[in-house]
This record gives sequence, C-alpha cells and structure tokens, in this order.
Amino acid sequence: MDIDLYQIFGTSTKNIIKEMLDLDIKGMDSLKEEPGEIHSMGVSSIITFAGTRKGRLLIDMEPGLALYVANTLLGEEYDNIKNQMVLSTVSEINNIVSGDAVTQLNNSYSMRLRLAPPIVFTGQDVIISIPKISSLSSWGDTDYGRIRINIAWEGGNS
Amino acid sequence: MDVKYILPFLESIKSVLEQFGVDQVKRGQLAKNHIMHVNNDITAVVGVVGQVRGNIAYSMSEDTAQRIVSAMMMGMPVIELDEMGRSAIGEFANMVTGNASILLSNSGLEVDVTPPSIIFGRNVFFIISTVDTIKIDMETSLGRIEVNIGLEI
Repeated sequence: MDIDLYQIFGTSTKNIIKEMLDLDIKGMDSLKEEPGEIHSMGVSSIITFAGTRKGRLLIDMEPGLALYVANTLLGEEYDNIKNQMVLSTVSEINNIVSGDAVTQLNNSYSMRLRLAPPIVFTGQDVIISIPKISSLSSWGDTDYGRIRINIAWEGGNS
Repeated sequence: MDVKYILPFLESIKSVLEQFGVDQVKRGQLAKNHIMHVNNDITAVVGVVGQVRGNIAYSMSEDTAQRIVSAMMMGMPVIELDEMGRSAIGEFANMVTGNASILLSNSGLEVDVTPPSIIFGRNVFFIISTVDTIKIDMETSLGRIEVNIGLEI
C-alpha cells in the first residue's frame, strides 16, 4: 500500500495530461526524497486532503508548459503566466489529477480522503516549505517544459 | 460568504496570539478579491474540508513572522527564519485554523483541517479558491497579518 500512496499520483498525472492534452510525459518513473524546501520552477499548484490520513500533492511546471496547457485547453494565446486564466487552468489540472488519484485510494484502501480546493501561485524566487512532512518528488519532461510532482503524507511513508 | 463563516478565523487569530502574550489585535481593512496578489514575504495556507470547504491564507512580512515566532518561543530572539522558524509559522497557521474549525464545529458544522503549506517569495500571485476570497488585514503589535479566506459553502 505505502508506495501506492505515492505512485498513484504519478500515474494519474501522466494519464490525465495525455488524455486532456495529448501530451506525453517522459520519465516520472522514480520517486526521490525532497529536502524541506522546494524551489518553484514557474507555476505551482497544491491540493491538500484529509481523511484517515492527511497529505498533499504539489504540481510544479516550467512557464512554457503552463502556457501550453492553458493555450491548448482554452484555445487562446496567453503569453504571461500571471494571467488568471493560465493560473486557473493549472489549478484545474491539479484538481482533476488529485480527484482521480484520491478516488482510487478511497476505493482501494477506504481512506475517506476529502480534497480542499486547489491553490495555485507564481512569483519571484518562490520557495515552498511543508514543515514536518517528508515528501517524495518525481520529475518528467515534455516537449514544452519540465513538470514535477511532489507528494507528502503526514506520518511519512511508514 | 456569510459572516458567520469568517468570524471564527478572525476570533481565532486573536485568541491564538493572546495565548502568546499579544494583546493588541485589531481588525483592519476588508476587501473582496478573486486573484490574490501578495507583496509580503511569507504566506501560510491551510485547507479545510467537510461541511465547510476552502483555503485560508495568512500572509506577513519576514519581520512580522520573526516576531510571531519569537512570541511563540516565549520571547527568544529570532534573527532569521530557519527551518524551525518556518515550522513555527506553519504551526501558527495550523493553530489558528484548527481553533477556528472547533468554533465552526461548535455551531454544528463538521470540518477537518489539512496540512499547512508555507510559501516564500516576492510579488506572488495566488488563486486560493474558485470563489471570491475575503481579505482582512489584522493589525497586531507584531505587525500586519493579511488573512485571505476562500470558502466554498
């Protein structure tokens, strides 16, 4: 079960991005422990959840990929990652990925997880710190930029 | 957003700060936003799930954060926000939101709190809710805390 709690988010991310954008993510096959701080690559979105355990998913994209996601899904030509529609689209992708993964976890392990709404942000020199929770990251590459997911559960992977 | 959902968070900030010996906490300006632009250095975000669902963001300058951490550590001087300091700010956000969730539970609403995330950076644009957020400045003797409440009810 334990490794499933992490891997399921990678699988959902790859599947949803492929399904919605017809975009392949290369890599994202292994998980690596992150230090306490994560430097944002451009646009980051976090969803937290609570049930029998508590945790969160961070999806972090390089600017080029965030713009591609928004432009493809909305059929527009945005060129600024601070645009509200670009941020909202990345946030919605996280909502769909987390919804898919959490539904599978609830069905398989009766975790009764409920999602808080996604948050999304971009800015200068952004660092994300999730105190007291160890987390694992997985990186992938696309034709439009890198993507990272970071998964954390309270109580770690024990 | 009904005021009865907002007040517990504001009361909670006051009561948590009072526990650390801070007695000057005043409610300042109130505004409604969709996109949240933060010029402060530090934002702690905590989610709530259950009959009330949303995110609450607490933003402050690094100086204010250092003073809050110092107050939490019974006046110990804090000259930089190291890992322990950041953890303390997360704990502060957790305490405020957890306390507010108890106040909401007392009025018959079942809510649970999710883990806090701390975001550092300059000129940060956030969206914390699919609905508009209510922004309230809390003026305290430790500095200003900007509270953004985005609840989907």
